[in-house]
Amino acid sequence: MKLSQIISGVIKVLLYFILTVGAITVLIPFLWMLATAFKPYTEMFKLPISFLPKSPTFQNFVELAHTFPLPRLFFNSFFIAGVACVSSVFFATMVGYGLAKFRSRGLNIIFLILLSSIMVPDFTRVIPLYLTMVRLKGDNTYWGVIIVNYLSIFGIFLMRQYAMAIPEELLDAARIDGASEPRILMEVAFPLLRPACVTLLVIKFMWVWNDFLWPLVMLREPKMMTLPIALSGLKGLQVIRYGPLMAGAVAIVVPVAVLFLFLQKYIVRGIALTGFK
Amino acid sequence: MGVKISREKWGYIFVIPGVLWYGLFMLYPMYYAIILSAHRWMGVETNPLFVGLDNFKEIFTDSLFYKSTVNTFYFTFISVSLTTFTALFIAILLTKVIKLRAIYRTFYFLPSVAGVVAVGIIWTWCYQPTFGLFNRILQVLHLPPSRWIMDPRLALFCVAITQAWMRLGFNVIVFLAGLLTIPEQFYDAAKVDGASGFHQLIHITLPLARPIITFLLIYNTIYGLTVFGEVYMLTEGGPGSATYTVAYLMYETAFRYSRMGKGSAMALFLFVIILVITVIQMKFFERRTQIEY
Repeated sequence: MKLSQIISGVIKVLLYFILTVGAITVLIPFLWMLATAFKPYTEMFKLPISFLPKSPTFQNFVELAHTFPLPRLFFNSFFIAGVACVSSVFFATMVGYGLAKFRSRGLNIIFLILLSSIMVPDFTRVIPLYLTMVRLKGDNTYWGVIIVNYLSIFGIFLMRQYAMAIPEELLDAARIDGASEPRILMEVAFPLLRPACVTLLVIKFMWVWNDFLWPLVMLREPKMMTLPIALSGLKGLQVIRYGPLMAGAVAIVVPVAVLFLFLQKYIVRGIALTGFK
Repeated sequence: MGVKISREKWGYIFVIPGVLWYGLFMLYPMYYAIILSAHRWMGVETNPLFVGLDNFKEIFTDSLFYKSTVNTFYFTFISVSLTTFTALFIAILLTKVIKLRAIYRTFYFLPSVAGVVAVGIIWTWCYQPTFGLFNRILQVLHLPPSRWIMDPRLALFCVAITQAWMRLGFNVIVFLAGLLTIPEQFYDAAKVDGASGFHQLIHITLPLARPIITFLLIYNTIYGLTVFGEVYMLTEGGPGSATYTVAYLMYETAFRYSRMGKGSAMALFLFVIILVITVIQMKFFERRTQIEY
């Protein structure tokens, strides 16, 4: 065997070694969360550290369910994220398609103006939006949380990127057949944009599910809160019970993690295409 | 017979929801924030009082605000450099791997789906001084324990690590997607010329990846400067004022102490900082990004 072959072999092994060690380091806090969530109280403080519970239990989840109205919280989270997703996909498709396929100076300017809002972070808008919502009696309601999420710049940008790839001839063919523009959008463009819609749906769902600042200021009553907002209050309790807390973290993470694992090719493509989340 | 709407007009009709969103949830709140910053307003039940620039005078003489600003810059520097360069390193390694690339990418991305509340809960437990994971690992390695987020000198750094952990996967995906678009011929040509892997990295990969690096640096910087959830979940500004950041102080001022005007002044201050830094970053990298392909 030649020296260069040996060197490239060593490099390859080193490569996998570094990547694997990195991946394990990244995953350790998750494994620790899972381990703690399924350990009985007595096992939690034992040495040496173990990532496998000796007698796994659902006790922590039961305790969590006693402290919080879990079904209601799950419903709130799913409802808010669900409505925001559907509305976002609908409007983002419309706007993105409009920007991509009806080129004109005016529309280009509108696109640039819309894009500029990436520079405006959420927190600069949170106080005025909150005060406005209070005046409109939208605080502590579902619609108050949902309405600011009915559309997002990310969604518009994503749909525009995908819509640009639709061949012009297809649209023109439909026009020659006498189809109106809204019909072309619904019956020609929309089916072609379906993969993009899935991408937006998943990313938006994860985004709204995990959203923090806005629902935190808007939702005061526990029965209106999303799961993460309710659980963020658990920390403030006098005695911190790490078992139920980790069970709570599992409850937050599992739905989005499952979604991600099944639909990750859509997410990866969407992020790669737009460069932001 | 209905009125025939021209094709161009349909384009404008389709973008109406976008313009509406921009007006209602972007322009209007920004305008309102500026108005608010000139008023003293103690919550919704009371009447706002015009005070001109008093809110700004107040925050610029407030030592906690000063401390929060310094903290925010320090935090952003740590978090952004950790996230961006670790992600670039991992992404470069991942371009050399074909078989397991998808699996590695999944693992690295997983923290990004967790959301700040779950991440905060998990890391609070990891940092916990007596039974937390990190001190137990140190114990196994016979190293002295640390107080992590309870240690005023270390706390902000710990929060930055947590944010970097959360943001890493997203950065890896963007870098990887960008790096994979670099045409293979560049590398082939370099190999013919006998360039080593290191030379290829310096002379091909990094220059061509510069636009992505710029983009992610800017994006991560905005993310770092507005850090809120991580602080809220891990330290609530403590110990003492060690981890107060501008966004966190703004939240407290507006939503715990109902000082809406003062909070708005802080929000605007940070917005201007972000704007200035973004423009500087863009200019800095633009000047040095003349190599195109």
